[in-house]
Amino acid sequence: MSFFARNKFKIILGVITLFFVIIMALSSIPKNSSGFVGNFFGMLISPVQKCVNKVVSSTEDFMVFILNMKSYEKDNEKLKDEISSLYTEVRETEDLKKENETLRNMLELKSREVEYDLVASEIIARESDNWYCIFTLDKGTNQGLAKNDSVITPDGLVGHIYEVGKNWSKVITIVDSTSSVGAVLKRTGDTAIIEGSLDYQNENMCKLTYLSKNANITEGDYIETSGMGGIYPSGLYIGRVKEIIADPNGITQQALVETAVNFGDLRQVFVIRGEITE
Amino acid sequence: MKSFLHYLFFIILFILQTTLSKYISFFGVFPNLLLVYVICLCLIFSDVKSIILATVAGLALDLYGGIVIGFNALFYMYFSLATVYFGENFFRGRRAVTLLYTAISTFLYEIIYYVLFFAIWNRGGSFNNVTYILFMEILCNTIFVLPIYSLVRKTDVSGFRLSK
Repeated sequence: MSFFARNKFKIILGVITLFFVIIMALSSIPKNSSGFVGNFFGMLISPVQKCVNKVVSSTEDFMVFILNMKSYEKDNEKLKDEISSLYTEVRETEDLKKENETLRNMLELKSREVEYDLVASEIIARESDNWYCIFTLDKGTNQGLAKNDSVITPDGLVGHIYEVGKNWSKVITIVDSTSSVGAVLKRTGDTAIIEGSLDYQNENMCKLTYLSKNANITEGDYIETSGMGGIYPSGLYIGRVKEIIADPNGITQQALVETAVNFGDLRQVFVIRGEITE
Repeated sequence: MKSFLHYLFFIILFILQTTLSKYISFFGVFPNLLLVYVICLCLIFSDVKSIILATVAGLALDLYGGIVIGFNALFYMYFSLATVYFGENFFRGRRAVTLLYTAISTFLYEIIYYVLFFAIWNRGGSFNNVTYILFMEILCNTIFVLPIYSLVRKTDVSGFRLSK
């Protein structure tokens, strides 16, 4: 009996192992501005991920539809009430905006309105374990996206791109335990850092740290990006203070922040493309 | 027919794990249904088909959102090989063994994952959090292994493995 016939199983196992090791090596190459190999691999994987995601999200939609069928009528009534109160708010905001513009013109101040170049993108894959909160988008450098571009939804800040290929990009969310964002308390202007934590990432919460001991923080305070750190532009809404927690060192203050974005239900996001024009 | 059923269960559990895990989470920790399924399959059938399905399951997890593509495929392949060996020599159809094997496997899987992706690459995570996630996931998986085990066992029409 030949060597190959005798060791068929071991040879097959060895070949498969080698194949996966090569794939692992290729996919772990840092892909800031992806090289040819990394990009090629990402381009091959991306359509498959898109397909799997379509099947998975359609099934989820169907199941959620069945589960929530009873509550639709109540939700409809609630939403109608919300719409009418929002109409009133919009009218008031329009008046305030006009007044603000007039006063700014009188004082000859530069407009603070920020215009973002947004790219709508779909989430095609996400980590399904208990350690990370990272996902893959269906857009990449072909659509003008780059590493460190901020990712948002109409609700608030999602995270930033940490790796990008031709037709895909990977996003690290603000609730991930490896993420930190420069933040500011909107009411008082005090600066702090928003950090993701393994403890809270599945509950859509982050930790607010390095806040001055003298800062006047209360539950319900709005938190925005401060613009410090070079990744996120200033003024992106992050969330609200849910609970003030004791800092073990007593030098600074800490708090739990409930993010405006529900990371479990995210499907579509917007990427702020290129440099910010303020 | 048996293989078709096994792949059908795999697809259902894959979709459950990737989309509806938030509905079946215990205090914010998700069970690893595919790992549990692979354990049951390899213990009950102990054949090459189970190893192939396990590898496909790992690859599917990698493609859906793996940080390093190929890690789960490789892990599931070697893990299923070990489980098949264990199934052939020590299992004998005892549920208590399945529970214990699931708990140990979950612990090993998560520890390897943690060491590879956090400790070596210095990506954070305090001891308390890691212990909490490990404990809760072991608890979740051992709870889910019983219904999944019964389901897989029903497909063992020949009763070949369990009568051994």
